[in-house]
Amino acid sequence: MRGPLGGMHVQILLALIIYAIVVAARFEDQAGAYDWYKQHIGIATSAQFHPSKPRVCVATEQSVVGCLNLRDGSIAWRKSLQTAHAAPSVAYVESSSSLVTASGGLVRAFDLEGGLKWQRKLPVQSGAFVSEVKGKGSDNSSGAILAVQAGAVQVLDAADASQLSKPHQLKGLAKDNIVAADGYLVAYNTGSKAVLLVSTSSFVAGDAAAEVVVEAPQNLSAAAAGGPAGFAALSACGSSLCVLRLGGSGDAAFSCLRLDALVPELTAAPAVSRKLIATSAGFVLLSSDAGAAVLSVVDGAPKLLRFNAAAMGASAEAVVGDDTAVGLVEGATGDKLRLVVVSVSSGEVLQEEDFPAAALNRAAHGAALQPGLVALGAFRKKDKSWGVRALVVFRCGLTALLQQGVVVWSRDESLATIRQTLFVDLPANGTALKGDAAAKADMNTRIRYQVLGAKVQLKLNTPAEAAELLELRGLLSDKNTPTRDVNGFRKLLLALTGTGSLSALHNGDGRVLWSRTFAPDAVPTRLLQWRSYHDITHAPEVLLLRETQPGAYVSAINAHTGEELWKQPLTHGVSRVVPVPAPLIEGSAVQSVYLLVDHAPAPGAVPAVTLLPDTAAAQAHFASSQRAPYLFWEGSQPGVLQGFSLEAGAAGAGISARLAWQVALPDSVLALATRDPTEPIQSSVKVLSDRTIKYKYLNPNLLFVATGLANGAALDGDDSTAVTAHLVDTVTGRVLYSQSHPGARGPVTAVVSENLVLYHFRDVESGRFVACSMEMYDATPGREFSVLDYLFNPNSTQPVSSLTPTPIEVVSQSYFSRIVPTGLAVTRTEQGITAKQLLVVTNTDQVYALDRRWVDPRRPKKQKLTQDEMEEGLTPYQDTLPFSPLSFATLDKQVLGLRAVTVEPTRLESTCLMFAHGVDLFYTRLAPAKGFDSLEDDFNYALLIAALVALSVGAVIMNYMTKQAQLAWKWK
Amino acid sequence: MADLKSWKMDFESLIPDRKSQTDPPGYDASIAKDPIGMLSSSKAKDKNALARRQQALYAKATAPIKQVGMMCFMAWMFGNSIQIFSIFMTFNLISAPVSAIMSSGEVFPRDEEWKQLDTLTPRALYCLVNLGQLIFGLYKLSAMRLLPSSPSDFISTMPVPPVLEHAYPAL
Repeated sequence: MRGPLGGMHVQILLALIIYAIVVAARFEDQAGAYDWYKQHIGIATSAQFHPSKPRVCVATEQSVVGCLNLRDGSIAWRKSLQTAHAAPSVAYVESSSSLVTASGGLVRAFDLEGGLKWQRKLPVQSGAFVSEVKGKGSDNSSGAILAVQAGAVQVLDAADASQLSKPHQLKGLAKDNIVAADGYLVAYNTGSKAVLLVSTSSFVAGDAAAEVVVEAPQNLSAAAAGGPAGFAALSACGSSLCVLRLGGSGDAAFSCLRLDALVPELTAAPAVSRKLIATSAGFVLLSSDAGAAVLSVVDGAPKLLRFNAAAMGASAEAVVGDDTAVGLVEGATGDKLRLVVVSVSSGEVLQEEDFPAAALNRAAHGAALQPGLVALGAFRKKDKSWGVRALVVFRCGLTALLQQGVVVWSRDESLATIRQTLFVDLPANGTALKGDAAAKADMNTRIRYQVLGAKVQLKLNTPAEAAELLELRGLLSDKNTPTRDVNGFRKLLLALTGTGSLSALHNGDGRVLWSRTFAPDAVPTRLLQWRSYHDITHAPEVLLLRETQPGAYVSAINAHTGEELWKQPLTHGVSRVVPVPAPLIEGSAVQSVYLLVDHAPAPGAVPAVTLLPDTAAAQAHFASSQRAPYLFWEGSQPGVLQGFSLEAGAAGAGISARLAWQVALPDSVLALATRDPTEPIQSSVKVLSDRTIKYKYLNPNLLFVATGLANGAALDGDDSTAVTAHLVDTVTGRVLYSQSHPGARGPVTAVVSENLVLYHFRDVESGRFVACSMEMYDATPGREFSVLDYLFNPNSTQPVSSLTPTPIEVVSQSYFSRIVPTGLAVTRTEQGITAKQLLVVTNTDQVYALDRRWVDPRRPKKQKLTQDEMEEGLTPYQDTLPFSPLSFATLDKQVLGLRAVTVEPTRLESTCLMFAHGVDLFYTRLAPAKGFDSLEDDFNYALLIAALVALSVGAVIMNYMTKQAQLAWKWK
Repeated sequence: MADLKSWKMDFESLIPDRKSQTDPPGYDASIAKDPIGMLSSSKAKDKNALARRQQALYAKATAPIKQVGMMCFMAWMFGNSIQIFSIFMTFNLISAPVSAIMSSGEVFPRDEEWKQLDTLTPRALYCLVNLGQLIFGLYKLSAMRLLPSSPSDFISTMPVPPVLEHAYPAL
């Protein structure tokens, strides 16, 4: 009986091979299959060319410092200063070629290779001003740094941050504007006349600084500059230039000159649209609409050297050959950009160069090219003459390098400023977006791909074939097709940026399909869902809203083309936009409804509420959808929550609001969280392993409030601090439950999902972060469940009301967390069946996916679990949450300056899409309970078919061989 | 000639360790063993034969007891965990008695020659024994938590109760 047994062996072997192939987890070559990552640096506010390397070093509005490669614009290095996204104050110290930055209470010095040279903490955690001191008093060769913060001045050695003298307290320096000018610090408040002057050399010498107050003839605006030529500021009305003469003999004195007398061609414009740039001989006055005047100051009197009416941007001065010059950028509206280099001492034009702007216009997606920052650098050409290059940062976020008549490179940095995002459906097949046809692959390529895939899986490949496989995967993958797919994986990601543009990104690779830029005075502040359709012929519509008056408006945008469908000005400002969870169904359209709230912060003021869209259908929908709608928010006084009952009046009368309740909390509010009312919930009960039923407390009108000592407030030695968590019913204002954590303080991050509240706080004694989870259950006594009633009585589920409250049972448990959270989100799937993961935004700008079962408050406090507990999926309690490096949803990437995480369900229950944005962008596909309902996208069908064919051929051959063997044996 | 047809040889009969059982044509083994039985009257033996047949039927009916006991013991040994073998076992535990009860008519056929033979009681006994296995199988299923026997098995799809009031957060 050798034959059949042999056949069986082969079959088992083949089956094992197939099994091994199917279950083998492959991670490394899947990188980039479902995710993409884009690095940005932000909108540069200051730039400095590297003295020796082909690099330009910038500091950005997003509080990032870094250097870009001049050849291709790639990021050579970058460092986040980790502050609340304010542009840092930067000083470039030439002698030690380092960048000194001040932000968030820290002064840091970076060398131009990205190394942190030193860091020094300032007494207060707020913005500070740094400046290099070049006075005669500084005998130190490495230079001295002045750090001014809230009236305190520190003098630091630029080489090692040692204090050169003890800190000076000058209360008078705590002003809006501080400018360093020619050995003095000039401080003044915007719109005032009093200007304080302090000599910096006295700081360095360690003397008591003499404060001199000079009265300006006119109120001064924030547009000011200081340099070797003194201090200059525009008057608050914008019509005069006031110049303060410093140093020299005699007292400091202001002289104001009317601008129309100084520069007759300059049109009248408010001071906010003008900028002053200091040069060694005087100033450059730049008007943002057009026109730059190069002025020289002789004995405190400004004199016009050259006026360029077409200039839109001007740089700081740079040494070009034997002269110092500024670069003016002209004519950004046409198809050409012109760089004019003007000598600051004589006003002569040293060089003029034209650059084609077509590529830039394309990269800007039609936005106006208005230069925001220009940096000029000089270099020696091959023929030993001097050439200039300019880094131009346009207001739309485009950053470009101009050199020798060409735009060397450009980067679109507007996506580093994303404020809000929204996932919408792509067009259906056949109605693909114009100009974005994906390449179609032929059959041969597909077969080649499958063969290569089989080879790689069986490890028979060469490295070249592995590379070819990856390339073909990108080519053949349909993830970049600009149409929607059956599983809902392909979506359009709309992003509203801080630079005032709305961009549509394809979620397959993050490319921009369309972009629309708005004028600075019409920048929308909110991106909202508006109208979606069940039929595939209509494109979904999104709503853009500008909240601030004047210029408040709403406009609807076609999400597939970016075309504006209508625009409607708002007669009132909008302080809050409240989505009504139940959408209005109009035929095949699903119309979102919003409440626009206009509320003055005065006490006792009643909010004015209007409906959007304000149509009869929407009013009827709003009136009928809920018995009694309420509205609540954190009141104008700290620690006060207010609830208003809303009443839809007669048609056209609008909605009236009345104060219904008010809760005053004893401490300051550290965190607020509510459940997303549209979150899908599969089951309203939890069945324990002993078959008992627990009813989840799923009241959507639940607010989680954490109170405690305000963040950043000083902790008194004898005072105990505590974080208190409250659950508030937002219809009645009743506090349903509270629990307190002594010895804890903020910052608190919280999320509410289903019947779970998870919040993090900091334990003062251990210095660690604590995650506390609460699960709420309905504790109505004697609640019975009848199967017959449930099966046959359609009215068996009774509606619940906050006015007849049910008792609540809260199970709570705390864990130490190894990661430091700065934000929390939760995954969301189509039906809500899949186990949830909590997405913890960490202080290292990553996203950690934490399974909900780890924060289950019912985790038993014993090592040996019973059969029942194991069956329920409980794990033994440990005081610290598990930390697995493989659980980072952002993989090995760091999403610099991570601000928010957006989660979107797909049509497959197992999978959801996650987009994390900050300065960087990161997108991935998440499967919280693994992909239980689908094969992988790159499942190798060829290998499966080959294995099946091999199996059947093997079986046939073995059958034949068995017969032969039997015959031979019988003839024996 | 019909007898001659079975008097043949083929390769199967040439297997060395099998004894050749081909009898010559016209040879009847039963007559050769008991030549008197053919001649004596069957009436005298009838009563004895009926009792023996009845006994045989009862023996047939109680035969599965051993097997059922064995199956139950094995099922108990497998435990209540849900895995491929215990699922097979439990499936077998339930399907075998059901099919045995369904086909009990064929196990205990009505004999036209012996009309007074009681086939019903042994058949009922047979069914009872198999029913025992079925009950054990169901118990096993319940122990494995696969029987919807408590209210909580019906409740998991209970919808979320609607809420009468709604407060909109404007945070």
